[in-house]
Amino acid sequence: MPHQFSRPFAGLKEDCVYGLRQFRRRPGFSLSAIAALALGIGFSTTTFSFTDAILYRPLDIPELDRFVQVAGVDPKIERSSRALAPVDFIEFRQSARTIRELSAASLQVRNLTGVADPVQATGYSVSPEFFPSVRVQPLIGRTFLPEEFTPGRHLSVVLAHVLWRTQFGEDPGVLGRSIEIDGQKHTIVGVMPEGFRFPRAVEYWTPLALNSSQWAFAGDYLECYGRLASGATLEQARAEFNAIAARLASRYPTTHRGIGARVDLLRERVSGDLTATYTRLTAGAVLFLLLIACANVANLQLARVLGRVREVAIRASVGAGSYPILRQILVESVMLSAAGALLGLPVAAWTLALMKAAMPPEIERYLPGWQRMGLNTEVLLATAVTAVGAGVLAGFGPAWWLSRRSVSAGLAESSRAATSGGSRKLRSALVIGETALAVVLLAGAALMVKGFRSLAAVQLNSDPDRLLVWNISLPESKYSSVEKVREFHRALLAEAASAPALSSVALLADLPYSDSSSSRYFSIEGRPAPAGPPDVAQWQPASSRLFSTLGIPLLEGRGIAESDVPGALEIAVVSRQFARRFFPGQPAIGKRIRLQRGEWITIAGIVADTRHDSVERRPRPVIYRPYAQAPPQSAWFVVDAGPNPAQFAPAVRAAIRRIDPSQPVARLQTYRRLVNNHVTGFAYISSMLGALGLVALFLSILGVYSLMASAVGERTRETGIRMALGATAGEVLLAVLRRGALLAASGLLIGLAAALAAARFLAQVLFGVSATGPAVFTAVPAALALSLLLACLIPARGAASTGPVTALREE
Amino acid sequence: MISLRNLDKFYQQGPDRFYVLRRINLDIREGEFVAIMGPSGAGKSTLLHVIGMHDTAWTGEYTLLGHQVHKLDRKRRMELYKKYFGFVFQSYHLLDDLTVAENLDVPLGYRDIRKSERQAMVADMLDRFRIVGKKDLYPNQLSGGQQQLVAVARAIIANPKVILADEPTGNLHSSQGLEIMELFKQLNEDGATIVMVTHSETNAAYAHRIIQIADGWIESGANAA
Ligand SMILES: Nc1ncnc2c1ncn2[C@@H]1O[C@H](COP(=O)(O)OP(=O)(O)O)[C@@H](O)[C@H]1O
Ligand SMILES: [Mg+2]
Repeated sequence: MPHQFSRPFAGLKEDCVYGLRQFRRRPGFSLSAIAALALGIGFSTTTFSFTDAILYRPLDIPELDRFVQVAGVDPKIERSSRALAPVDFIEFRQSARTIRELSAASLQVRNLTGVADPVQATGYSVSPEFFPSVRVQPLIGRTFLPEEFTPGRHLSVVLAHVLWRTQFGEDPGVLGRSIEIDGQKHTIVGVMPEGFRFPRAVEYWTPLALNSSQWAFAGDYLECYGRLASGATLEQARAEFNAIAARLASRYPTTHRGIGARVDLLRERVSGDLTATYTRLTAGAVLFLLLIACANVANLQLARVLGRVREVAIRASVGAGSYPILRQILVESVMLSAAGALLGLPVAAWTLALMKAAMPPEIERYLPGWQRMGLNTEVLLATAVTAVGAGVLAGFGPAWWLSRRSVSAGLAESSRAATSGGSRKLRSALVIGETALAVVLLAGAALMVKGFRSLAAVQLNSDPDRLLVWNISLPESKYSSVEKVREFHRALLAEAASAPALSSVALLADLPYSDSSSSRYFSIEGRPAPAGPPDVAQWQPASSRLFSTLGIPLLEGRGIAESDVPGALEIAVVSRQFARRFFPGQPAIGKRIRLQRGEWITIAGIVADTRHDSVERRPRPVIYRPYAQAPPQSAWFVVDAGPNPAQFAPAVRAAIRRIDPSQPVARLQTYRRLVNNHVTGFAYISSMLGALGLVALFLSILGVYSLMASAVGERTRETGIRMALGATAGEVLLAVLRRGALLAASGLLIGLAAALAAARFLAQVLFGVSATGPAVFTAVPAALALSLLLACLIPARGAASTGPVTALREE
Repeated sequence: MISLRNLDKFYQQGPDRFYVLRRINLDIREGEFVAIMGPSGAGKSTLLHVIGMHDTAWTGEYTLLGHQVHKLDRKRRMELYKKYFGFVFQSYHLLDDLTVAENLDVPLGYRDIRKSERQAMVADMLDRFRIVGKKDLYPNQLSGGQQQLVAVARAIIANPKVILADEPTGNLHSSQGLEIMELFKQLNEDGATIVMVTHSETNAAYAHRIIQIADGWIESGANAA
């Protein structure tokens, strides 16, 4: 034996030539194996590039793996991630040893003027450490100088490539010119290269210039980034930052009580918790698919090596050993999977192109890395490894089985006897395993699709096709007082309502499903402050027609009235959940609440709960306030404009221009479109999982079919004998179906047990997915059983139609 | 009992018809023991399968105990076969995965017989053929003669009126062959009709009548003497 291993690769070329000959001799076999692998590998490749782009390289930043985001955690809130206060940042920057180059950034939505049309733009005000820590050089010009962080000398701006292109036509002479951000002139000092998104896609960066009292502020609005110090681990950083957070909490009890710190790898944070989980699960689903494809190919290979049992035995009897033939089998399966991979690449390229093309741009900007999904070197490498792995995996079973045949048994066996016993068991086990995997994958996919559908099922009391919505963010520089803000909103409501079609126009701070929301801490009259962070509720300044326009029923008391103006009684309308949570078993109306050190607000009414976004488990408590008493700097407007609301967009623009020609309007669209964009991500994952499930179904049907077809072929003689002994065609058909049903049932049972366990796991890690789905757990096995029986029916009918004469005329 | 009239069988090969059986007229009475002889490729096995109704692609008339077989559909023919025939093959055709006893049980499984009754019939047959000691062995653990013994036992276990045998001793030593022929003789004396294809003059001597067949034509022995 040893001498065969001394030159393990001698004759590899002959193996390949021989393998090619096998392909040509049995093209049907080879094609179905290649098709199974092309699907398995193609979808793996798609998922590789998806995962690579979303999870591992969402940002094009050097050493992204060491980049972390630091945030606060309110233990009372699920998946809580709070901004930091300037005092926190100062403290973290001074004390932290595990994270270096900490930088702070404050996200802001501002109006850009002094360019073409006024537009709303998103930018970051960043601390001095920000650009140096990122280590990306500007395309032209420079980033900020140290002195530009002094208040008064801070009016510089670095443009993102997208803004440079859309507003300045990529004019290199833009340096030194200025743009107005909320009416303040800023000098353009640099332009960042295309694709630079840090920490997310924005349109400009300005210096964060705070004076000493602003730095001492304990209100939270800063995002915080940094690099793990060399040698420091994420765990160490978490421990250190939580210790610092505990110190801060005791120093600032009113604002920081109970607030901890969280440190996460930036690449996991940029895509958001949910996206990361979904992406990992998709990768898991694809692994299942790949295993199913491998089981398929192993089965086909096994059918093929059966014909060579005698060859191996003869070779072994003359001392050849089984290594060459084992290698031959492995070479053949690797060749098959290489062919599958080659065919899988176009599948992957096509799927990726489809995914990219179908993603609306307004969503895509929140998915860093999306456009960089592609068949890059890493992905191709992973595909190659997968292909070789799949080939070895698929060839290993047959090769192992063959190597365990004893020489004498192999020689004694006629080809028909060789099909009995071990190999048949192994092949049945493969099909059972494959079916079980398919059940798990299908049930998992179905549960997740069901979960996503319930998430994506937007709950509205009004018809989103009739509503036109838009957002106005008033710059604080120009609208510097509550009076000015109130006056703008009042004027716009009046101006819009003067057009008869827009008479139902209403205002609120944060539109449901718009991905924006804000909350306030409050206290209740006559109650001690709770231990831990103060009570919190969503804060919704709104106008009088809001409840009727959005169809939110009034349950008790009164709604918001035109007369709720400053100087009148300060009132609030609260949601049912608010009343239940904070005034259980007692009337809420007439009770008083207040924001920190604010005026007392009397609860005047209770309205029904609404859903604000898809990932909300329970309705949250909401405080609605008359906008005139609490004017929001940024507000949404919503109007029921009949069956074709989009036609009124120009009228809305004109109304805004009449009030303030420099004020841009953002996200002017039908509510239907806004809501659809909100659920696009869910639709994506759903269709991806649905596709994976269908491919798994197809592959397992293919597996059962080919097993039954070859089993029937092997049993032609037996079938003939049985018919000669009196079996009818019907009995032969039933016997084949029974065998198939037994295989299918075993696979289904094992799969069902595994699927139930998998479901419990899914429900734990995935919001919106429930572990119990009676419909899923009956429909999936039923559908699979039916398809598998159909897959058996074709070979079974073939068996039943062979007469004993043909079957027995072998000698 | 069996009556064939103007029976033709051919294989269509391209535009040509290749006749395997030609204008067969043949009568076999109940209780007869007939041997079919002829050169290889003459159509002996084909004729046996036509009689055994495994082969349905022929023209002419076939009457079996008053049933006009040529007018029956496949299903009815199979019912007749099940009722009246047992088949013995040259290469035994036992089922490899089943023991001797299980092999004997197979034909009973395709007839409406209760499980307990089946067990009794199998035990009876094992007794009668003196193979009780072998009942749990698999076919590949038996000699050729023993295998054919089991095959014959299996052919008659469901009490057929007619035993069709295609060169039953072709793969056996002469002494083993003789044993099978003595068995056939005994069965015939007990009332079974036997139609046997054979190459051996010695075996043919056990028959009441010899049907000679060549190139698909019956040369002699079509009618009882
Ligand atoms: N499926 C078939 N197609 C064409 N010819 C066939 C077929 N089966 C049998 N034959 C031919 O029919 C003839 C009779 O065969 P058979 O009855 O087996 O002869 P034998 O007398 O040796 O038993 C032979 O010449 C054989 O080649
Ligand atoms: Mg013959």
